[in-house]
Amino acid sequence: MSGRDRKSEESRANRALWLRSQATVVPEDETGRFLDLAAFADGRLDGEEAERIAALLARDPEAASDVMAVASTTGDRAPSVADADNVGIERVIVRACGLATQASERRRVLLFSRPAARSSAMRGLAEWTSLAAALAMVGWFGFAMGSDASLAFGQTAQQNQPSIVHELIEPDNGILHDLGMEVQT
Amino acid sequence: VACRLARDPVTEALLRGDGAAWETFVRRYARLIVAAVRGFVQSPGEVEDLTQDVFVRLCKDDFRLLRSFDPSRAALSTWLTIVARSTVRDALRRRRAEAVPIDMVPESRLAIDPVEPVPKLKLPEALLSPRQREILAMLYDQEMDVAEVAAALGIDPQTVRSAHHKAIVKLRAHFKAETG
Repeated sequence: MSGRDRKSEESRANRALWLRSQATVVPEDETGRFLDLAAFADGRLDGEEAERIAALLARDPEAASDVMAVASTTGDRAPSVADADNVGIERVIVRACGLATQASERRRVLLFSRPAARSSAMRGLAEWTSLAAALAMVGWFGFAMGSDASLAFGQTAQQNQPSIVHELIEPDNGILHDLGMEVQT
Repeated sequence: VACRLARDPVTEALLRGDGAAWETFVRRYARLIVAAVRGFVQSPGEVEDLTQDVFVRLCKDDFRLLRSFDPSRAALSTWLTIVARSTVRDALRRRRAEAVPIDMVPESRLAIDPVEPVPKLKLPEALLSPRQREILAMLYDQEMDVAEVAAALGIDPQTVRSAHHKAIVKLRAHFKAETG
């Protein structure tokens, strides 16, 4: 690409940027505006920026009056103690100080103390102890369940069904009953 | 220079969350804010209430507004005066609006969202100086070349090129920040 082509492409891109900016509407940035006006009032803006703010002041008389007022409140005619006392400066201060108290109460966070480093060993011991206790509990519980079950089966068998041994040796109804008869005969 | 650019220690402590610094801040700047408020109202009760409004605004959202202050651009006292005057003006405007009997308000106005509208500007007005806007309009809307613009404005062609370059850099930065 030749230098002429590059220049022409750059010019097209810049034109597109300019057209796009004209079609863009932005909300006025309040914090930026305060800083711009204060910087202008303090004479800290360079030529281009000062021109931009001067144009803003020309179409916004309220902003212009704010800039003018800065000289009367911060310059030689700064507020005297007597002026402020007329409006009860102490009352103003007490009320304003109350704001920070309210704010700090609203955002108070309960802090828990951080566990000490040595507690990690204690925690490990506690973990192993609890694991061992859990295993012992499970073993005991399983054993208790098993023995209860065997007892229950044993009792059921005794109550409801004659045992095989009993059947074998019972002379009245055991399998040896007939054999006994034959032997007898 | 570094000292001048840094925030003062009281403001620094305040923004770090030192609760005691707020009282020092209030004691230091209460008179200044009262003086700014007295530019609008004189009754002691009103001055007290509106000064409190200013401090409320400074405290709001964990000192969001105070955090936006940049000591490299202006003195804190100047900035506070501007903020105080803007706060008082907004408060008085709201009071006037509340004082209008409801029967006097047209029905169409009652349907409006109670949130205060944020003023909007065309981007070049918000971002560029009048001279920069003029130069870009001549170059791109009227399709003049640099020499013609310089002749029309009675300035050096190099000044035209410099203003054009600064304006384009600002626009690029805006859109880059917007998309990035």
